[in-house]
Amino acid sequence: MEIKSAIEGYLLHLDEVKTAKITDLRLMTGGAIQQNWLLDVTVNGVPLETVLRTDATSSLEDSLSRAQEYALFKHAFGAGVTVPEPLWLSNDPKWIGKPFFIMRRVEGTAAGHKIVRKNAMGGGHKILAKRLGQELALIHATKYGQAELDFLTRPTPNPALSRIAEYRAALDATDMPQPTLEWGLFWLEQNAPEPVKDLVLCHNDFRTGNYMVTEEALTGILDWEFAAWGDPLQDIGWFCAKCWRFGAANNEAGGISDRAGFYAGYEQTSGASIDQNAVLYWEVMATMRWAIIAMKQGDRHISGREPSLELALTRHIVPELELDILQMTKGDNDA
Amino acid sequence: MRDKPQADDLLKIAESTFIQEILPYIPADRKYTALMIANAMRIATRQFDKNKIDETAEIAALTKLLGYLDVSDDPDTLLTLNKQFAAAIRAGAFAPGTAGHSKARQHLLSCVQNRLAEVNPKALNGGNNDR
Repeated sequence: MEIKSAIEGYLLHLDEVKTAKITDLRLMTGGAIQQNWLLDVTVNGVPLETVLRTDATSSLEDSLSRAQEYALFKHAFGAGVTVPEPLWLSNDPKWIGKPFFIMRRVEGTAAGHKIVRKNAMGGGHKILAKRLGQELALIHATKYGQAELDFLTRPTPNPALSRIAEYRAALDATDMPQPTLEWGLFWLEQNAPEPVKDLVLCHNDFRTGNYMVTEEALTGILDWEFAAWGDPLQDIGWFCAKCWRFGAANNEAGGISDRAGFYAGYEQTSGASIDQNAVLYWEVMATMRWAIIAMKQGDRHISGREPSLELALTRHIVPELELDILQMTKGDNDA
Repeated sequence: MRDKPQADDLLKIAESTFIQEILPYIPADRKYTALMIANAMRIATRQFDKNKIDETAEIAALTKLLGYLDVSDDPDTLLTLNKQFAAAIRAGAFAPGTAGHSKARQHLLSCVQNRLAEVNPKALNGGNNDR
């Protein structure tokens, strides 16, 4: 197999590698944006279980390159965040035709539906929620200004208004008017918080479904491709938003627990206290963001560019999100 | 004139046959795709059953909200009115405290509920809010 010998060739060209033999290589997930290959390889006589991550054919606007993602993994790993250990990066297309990086494989599942339905995950839902709060606080401990992460975007003029402008532009780019989403965006504009003093590293997709967990413990925070500088509460709102509870609506922290445990973990590690009302603003923003993404995904199918049943059905998630938005933005005088 | 059974009936029977007779034999790694197919067929069936969202009522409601005297006979009336409504919301014409705020919100709520009744009726009861 050509790719197999190409990867062995890459490994052997590294100074520290004397021998490399691949024992297993399989495509795990062929996502629209990235490909993940299961890669078992014995390096210098030591068997390693790894994942090779590379670009798929189409790449999504706004998402990070593999080299940038690798830099983030390196940074997060060094900061003590539970992420798969990044091992090697290649930007040279001569090996497999595109950039890739190799990271240690972590055990467990990321399937949101399974995780919310089975309490015995991550040492139990309560422990898992607290741990996730701690992990998020560790991510947010990186403040704006790190040279090695200077490729991350900085929101202008501030995190809330930059998103509102982005989502309005997305609505303007579609043929169908969306009065309910406009309603939500107007509310978001009117209720926008004061900009935070310190922008922090935000994961921007920190939610159930994007971390790996075994029955015993959390094993890795995944899907860093939307990371950017931002308001820490935007990650907390995304994690808690109703649309990411996988049907377990009463467990407001990611479908796995009440908010208290998750917040406690975050507050303990960060030393900051979480203002619940401020989080609610970011939950409306989170719901809006998912609605805009779902709309754009649907448009990929509708336009004929990428016919797909999954994309088509994703478009029909929008009304549920609109209902959430109308309920969350209900004023005291609204019926 | 078409013969019966027609699209609505055919879709309904195709969906229930698929669920009862084919789905149990689908391998685990294709189950998600199979469930998506069944879901798409259910949505289409409901859209036939409901004989389309009442667009005349939506046009009348929007005409009133926007303060127009007559309902236009432009064939794209609904699209045009919704574009105007969306722009008016963005401009703040229905901000809290304005005369039309409450009626506009009620209108949006009822439109969303109508669409949900077709694409995911469970979510109407605050129940299943997942994919």
